[in-house]
Amino acid sequence: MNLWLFTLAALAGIAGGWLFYLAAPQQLWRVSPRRPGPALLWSGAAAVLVSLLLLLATMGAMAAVATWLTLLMLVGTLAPFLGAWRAHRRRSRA
Amino acid sequence: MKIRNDVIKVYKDVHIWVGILSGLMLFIAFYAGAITMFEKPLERWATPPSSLAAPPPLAGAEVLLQAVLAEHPQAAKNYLIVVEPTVDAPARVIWREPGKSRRQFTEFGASFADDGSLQVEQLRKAPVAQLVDTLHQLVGLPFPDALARPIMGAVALLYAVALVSGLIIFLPTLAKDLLAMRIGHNIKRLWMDVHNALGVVSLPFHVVMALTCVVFAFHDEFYDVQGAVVYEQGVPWQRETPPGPPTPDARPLPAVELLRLAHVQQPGFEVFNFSFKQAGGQLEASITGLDTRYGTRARTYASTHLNPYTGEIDPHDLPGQMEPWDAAVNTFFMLHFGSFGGNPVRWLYLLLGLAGALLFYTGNLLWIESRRRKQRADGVPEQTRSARVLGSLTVGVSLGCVVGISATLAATKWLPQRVDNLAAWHEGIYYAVFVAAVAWAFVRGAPRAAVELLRLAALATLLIPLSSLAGVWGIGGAWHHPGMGFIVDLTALAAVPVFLAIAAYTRRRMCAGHTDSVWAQPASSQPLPPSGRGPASACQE
Repeated sequence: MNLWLFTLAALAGIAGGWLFYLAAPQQLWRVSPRRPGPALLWSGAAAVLVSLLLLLATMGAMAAVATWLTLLMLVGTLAPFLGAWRAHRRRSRA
Repeated sequence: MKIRNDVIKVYKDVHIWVGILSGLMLFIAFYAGAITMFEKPLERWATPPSSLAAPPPLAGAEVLLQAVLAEHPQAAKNYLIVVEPTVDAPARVIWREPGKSRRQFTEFGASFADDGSLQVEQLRKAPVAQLVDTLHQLVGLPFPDALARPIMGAVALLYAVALVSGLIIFLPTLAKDLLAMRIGHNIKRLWMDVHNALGVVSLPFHVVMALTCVVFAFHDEFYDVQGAVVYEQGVPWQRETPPGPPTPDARPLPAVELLRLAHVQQPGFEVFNFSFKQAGGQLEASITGLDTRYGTRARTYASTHLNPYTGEIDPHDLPGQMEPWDAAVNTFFMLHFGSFGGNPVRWLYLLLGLAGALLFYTGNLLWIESRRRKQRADGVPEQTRSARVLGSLTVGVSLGCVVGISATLAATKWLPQRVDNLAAWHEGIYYAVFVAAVAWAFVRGAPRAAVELLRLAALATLLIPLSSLAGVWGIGGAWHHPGMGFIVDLTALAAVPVFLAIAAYTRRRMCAGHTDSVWAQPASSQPLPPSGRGPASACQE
């Protein structure tokens, strides 16, 4: 397995998952007066697609898809907690 | 998506009750399962050093094998040549002698002493990693496998029902609640968001776990039904006759040559060992190793047949080269074990496993919070008995499992010098601590016990790296292996401040949180402020 490609794929997956979170109306990471635009959603989709393609280039198809989904699930699970933590810090400072 | 309220209510009731019935057993399965992701490194960390001399080079494996066969001819029936000896497989040549049952065997390893004489040692892998795996497989039940496994299967079925019903409850508010985390005065809302955050996005992971567990639990029954319905004449297993020697005086290739040919045929496949069996006058061989680009049916390796005379590998059992049906079955196993992508995916599975354990814990907290009797003008009402009992049970079982595993791991480096039956001692330590923690939770009440058991978890977990440190200094017969074993110690060390932080948070909530709660300091008779929150001074230990 090519570790460089795997690392790049992981970084792209984390970035894509995070952009999806930032695109959600419930995100707490940023203070945004308006509903997030579709740009975040599209860049998130592009990043996760790049992640999947890189994984497919370095692993078997089934293992690549499973790794990709595992990564996205973990980012999606942790993101609301990180967002809430940052919002809490913001409130404490205010 | 709109679903009728009466339908939602039915699913909510189902979700709550199957969750309450199975949640604590699933907590143990997920916490132990998360640790089991690193079963092999844990086994290496926990195995005492071998007394054998350093293994000879691979090129000298045949000389060692001949010396072994001359003194122990029974070794010819089943032996391994190890490519890269490790702490848990410390010899170049290892052989297995059968025990009472088919799966039981004793392993011996051999090497040459400095004076050239043959050294033989019975190998003793540390049983503590296997204990954690057994806790995972049998959801922590201390019963024989035949009894615990069907119970585990039933728990897995309940888990599947909880997932489906939970999803149906969530669907009507999906757009509003997905990724939401509303931290405020509404504790029930908060636990609901935490529960959803842990369970909704990782739903595919949980579905895979639930389905695979059902299959693992009722594996024999499925095969019986398949045999009766599909293969009435018996399953037509294709048993291939191993190729005999090309000429009567042909000899198996040396291990170095087998390894060279393996690299040529299967680039990317890291070879762990070659195993040989004498069956019906024929020499059968297989090759075991791992290619992290593909998932494996076994947790840490893949194995396939090898012609010991030509070095030709039969690839049809190797992941990535299987027939579609075999590949589908292989996928089923690899998704449960996380046996793809190497250590990075194991870390991801570990974190998802811990998140899963928290999912079940928060389910119980949500049940308790939903039944909280709120403060009235005439004082603080007593909470229901069921809420208090479930609070104590949740704290005792969950933290009892955590403390028990840490305690038995911490004992690993002290026991081998002092006791013979290591497996029984590790099991005894775990269950003694677990039962004591549950009893403690009922005696002290959920809030105080939670704080105390979390501090105890921090202490027991701190003892794990301290035991290794004692091994570095050679105190009390403890040991420390050089190499990557320190990651076990570092992980344990990193968990200590986490347990202490949760203990501090729990204590703050007990002291200054809502007093009309099972998590408040009990028997507080002080007058309450209008907020319904207790003054910090009311908290006395």
